[in-house]
Amino acid sequence: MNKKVMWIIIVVLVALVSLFMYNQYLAPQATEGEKAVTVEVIAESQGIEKIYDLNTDAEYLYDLLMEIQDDVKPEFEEASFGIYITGLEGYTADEAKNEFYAIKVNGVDAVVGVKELPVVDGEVYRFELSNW
Amino acid sequence: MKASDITLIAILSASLTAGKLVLSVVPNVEVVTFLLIVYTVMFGIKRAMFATIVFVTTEVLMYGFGTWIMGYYVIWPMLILLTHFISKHTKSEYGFAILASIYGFSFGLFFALFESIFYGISYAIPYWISGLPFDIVHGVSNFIIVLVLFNPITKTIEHLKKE
Repeated sequence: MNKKVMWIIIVVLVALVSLFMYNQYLAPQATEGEKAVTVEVIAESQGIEKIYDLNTDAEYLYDLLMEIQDDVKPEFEEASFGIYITGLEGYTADEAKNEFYAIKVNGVDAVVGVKELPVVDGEVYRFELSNW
Repeated sequence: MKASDITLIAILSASLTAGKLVLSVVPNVEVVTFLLIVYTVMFGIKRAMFATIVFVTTEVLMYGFGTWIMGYYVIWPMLILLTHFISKHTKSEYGFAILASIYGFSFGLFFALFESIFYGISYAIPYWISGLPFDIVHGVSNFIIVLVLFNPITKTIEHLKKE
């Protein structure tokens, strides 16, 4: 077998094992069970300020939003890095105005998206219409 | 600096921007690392360094200023220095492929450490860990790109230089 092809196969295999190990041991793990959390949706310019105190079994924030989708009316967009929120409460962030929905967990900017953010008992999730 | 050097630097930096834009749809698969390695080996440290500075400054013009851009001003010139150092010892594509791969794997770690200067270490650790799958993709794709393309591209440039 061509030496380069062999090395490429080895490196890809090592990467796949590493990704598997990551998902097993390092990726954020959600806990199941009854959790009391708060979801805040703020779009000051649109006069939207909604606060939901919820009890949920949702594992990730995305699941939680889907549970209350009739109220918060979440809109998402698919991107190469995953999905991101484009609209809430009937208002869609206007890209032309550099608007986006910032996600804050207990007041701190989230570093991952809604599908990776585990829902943890007692936390406050704030979606705030912001400008970049 | 000669006029031909200035022209060359303009072309090299434009190709870096174009290469980055073309692959921007695929997360963490990029040819900038590969191109910088090739440019350093083929055109020397000085021209590659100028091309990098123009490239990063173009990024500022395109995406605006952020703390990450300061990281870019450090990480890409560092790659050129490392390539220059390695090219003194070996011209093998394997050596450069390993360098590119290590670079890809440690990209997230570098930025986590760099951003921790501004946001603290408690920000850096989750930032790094959540980005690890992307770093793995980055390292592997860098390795494959350099291993497969290094020889054909350097030979083509060599050929063009003779003409």
